[in-house]
Amino acid sequence: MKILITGATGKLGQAVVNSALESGHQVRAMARPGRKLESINWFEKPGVEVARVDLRDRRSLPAVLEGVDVVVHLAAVLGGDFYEQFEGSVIATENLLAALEEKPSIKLVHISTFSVYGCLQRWPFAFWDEDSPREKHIDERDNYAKTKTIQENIIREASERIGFPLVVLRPGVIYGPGSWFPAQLGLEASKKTWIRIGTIAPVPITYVENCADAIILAAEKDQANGETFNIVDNNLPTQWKLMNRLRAHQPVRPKVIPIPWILMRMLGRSAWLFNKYVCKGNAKLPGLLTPAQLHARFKPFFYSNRKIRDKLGWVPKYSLDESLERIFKPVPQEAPTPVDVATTT
Amino acid sequence: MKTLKAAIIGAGNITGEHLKFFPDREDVELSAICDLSPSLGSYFAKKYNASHSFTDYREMLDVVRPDVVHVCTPPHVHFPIAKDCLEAGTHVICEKPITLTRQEYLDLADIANSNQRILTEDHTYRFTREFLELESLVNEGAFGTIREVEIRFSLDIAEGGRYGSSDLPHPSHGLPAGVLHDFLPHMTYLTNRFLTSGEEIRACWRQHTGNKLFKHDDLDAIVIDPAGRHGRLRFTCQQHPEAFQVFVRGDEGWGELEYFRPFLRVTKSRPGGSKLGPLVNHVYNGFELVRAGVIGIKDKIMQRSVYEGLVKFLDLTYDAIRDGTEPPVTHNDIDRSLVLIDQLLEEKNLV
Repeated sequence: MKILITGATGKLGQAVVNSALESGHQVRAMARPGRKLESINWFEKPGVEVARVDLRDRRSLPAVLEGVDVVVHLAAVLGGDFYEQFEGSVIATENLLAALEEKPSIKLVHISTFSVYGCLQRWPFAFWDEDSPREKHIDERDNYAKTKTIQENIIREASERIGFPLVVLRPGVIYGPGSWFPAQLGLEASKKTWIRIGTIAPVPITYVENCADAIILAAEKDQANGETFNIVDNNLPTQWKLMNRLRAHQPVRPKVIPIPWILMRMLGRSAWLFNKYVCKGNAKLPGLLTPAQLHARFKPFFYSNRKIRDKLGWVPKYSLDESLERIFKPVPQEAPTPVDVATTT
Repeated sequence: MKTLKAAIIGAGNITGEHLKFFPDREDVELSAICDLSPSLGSYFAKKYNASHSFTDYREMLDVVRPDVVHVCTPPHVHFPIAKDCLEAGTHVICEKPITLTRQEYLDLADIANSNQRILTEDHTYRFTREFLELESLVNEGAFGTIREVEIRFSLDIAEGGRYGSSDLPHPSHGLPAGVLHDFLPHMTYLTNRFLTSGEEIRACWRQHTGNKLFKHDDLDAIVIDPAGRHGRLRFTCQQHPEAFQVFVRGDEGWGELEYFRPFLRVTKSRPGGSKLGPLVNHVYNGFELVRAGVIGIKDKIMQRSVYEGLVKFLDLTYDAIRDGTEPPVTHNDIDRSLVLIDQLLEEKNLV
């Protein structure tokens, strides 16, 4: 099978390319024209061809879809202002969908996010699965949640209109080398001091390689078509447990300042009331004091991965401890080049 | 009172700032937003209660028949879009630079005149609180006779971001002065507030950062008007943090304005005479700095940005449209700004 992977140079993208290669697929990896590829872990591997294309450039997309069976759509912009995120996530997707109109037999595996779900109106410790309600307060969420919500909506609408097979995957918090401190834990105030917000809430994490395997499984299996799957690992740790595991891997164990969830919730609510009645809703408060964003990060829920396990047979390859071992394993040092004493004297 | 129907063409970055104007203006109804991206157009239309969104502006002109159109597209398509809007009988508020050449602007102005419509260009930075205060001090003679003005831009745009990335080059790279052309109107219209016209001009355009996308990334220009007032226009990508400053110096005092962290520092004749006057200025400036810091934090929380002048500009422009009077940015303001841009690019003035 030939798989086109957008966003192939990102952390998840690199893992997905490698998972596809391990499963015996051919990969066309999409990378922006200016992106340096030497540090990318699939660079020059057999079975990978690189498409130097920017998804925001609509003209170059039809050629990239030639000979492709499945598109795994990972591309999204996480930083920058609203317009940059909109352009990189939504307009880029509009362009991809326009190209797919000419090739409706290509299957699209869209990587959405937990951020499209709503949290504010739900009870704490509610059960969270694929049928959980979508976010109704999207204007109060951050730009990433806004643009990913619009992105998923236009993809679903296009699939119905054009008829291409669609699988929507919604991973929880993806962690891996270089990004192992989930925002759902709290804050890394410094290398020596961490702030933990909440204690017993399960953290909806998925290790990057586990998540990549789930994506390739969804690309391969026809029974995934038309379905939506959440991706979280088995045996999710609580905030307390995960933070302790992470601390154990640090050269110097950071000090933890715990803040109860209920206190943050009260602060967020007070800030919201102050904004509504004193500032007439005009103030822009930090995410931690914006209830819709605060609840999305720290409110305790119970998460399930039953659907993807039952329907696609996905089994996360690495447990939490194995994942952390892989993230923090020492980088092998290159052996020093032997010095020829005779020639250096 | 008749409600004016407004429409926006182009839902890019600056459009978000235009949209902030509508909720507080009861006699103006935002009727439509038009963008090549249907998702972006409909997102803003929903958020700001516009009744329509379009991907084709000609269809929008036919269906909505707006009274006023804001042209917020990339500059290279301002001319054809503004022309179609004026010919359809709408007033046009255009983002800067209004056109790529002065001749294109004069052609548009002719159409606007013959159709008795207003055609104006966004000169945002003339309408911020601090600039209006500075200008009023100059007009009151607080600085004596003005001798020089300096407009200084320092922006971190040469590497990455929307201007520096080579992935999908920003449309402004195709402007006559490259990316700098996107900022040049701010420098020229502000200079023109204090100088009459450029009699002697020297412009030094340079490329220092090595980003090959940039035609130029540095400008150092001197403009001297017939009264001997000096203007300096300085643009660099190599000084950090980012800043946008205006200095106005007269023979009895001077003012310094910073836009990105709004602060107006005024040094002028104050009580205390020649001995205590400098000290009084010092104390006064200290208080002003603290006050500016507090206001800056409040503005940050209340989402007042460097574009607050745009809302004021739009307010005054809509008043002019309603009253049939001259808009706050006049034909002469726009034309003089374009003349100065042409002069800065003219072969004989290059160093």
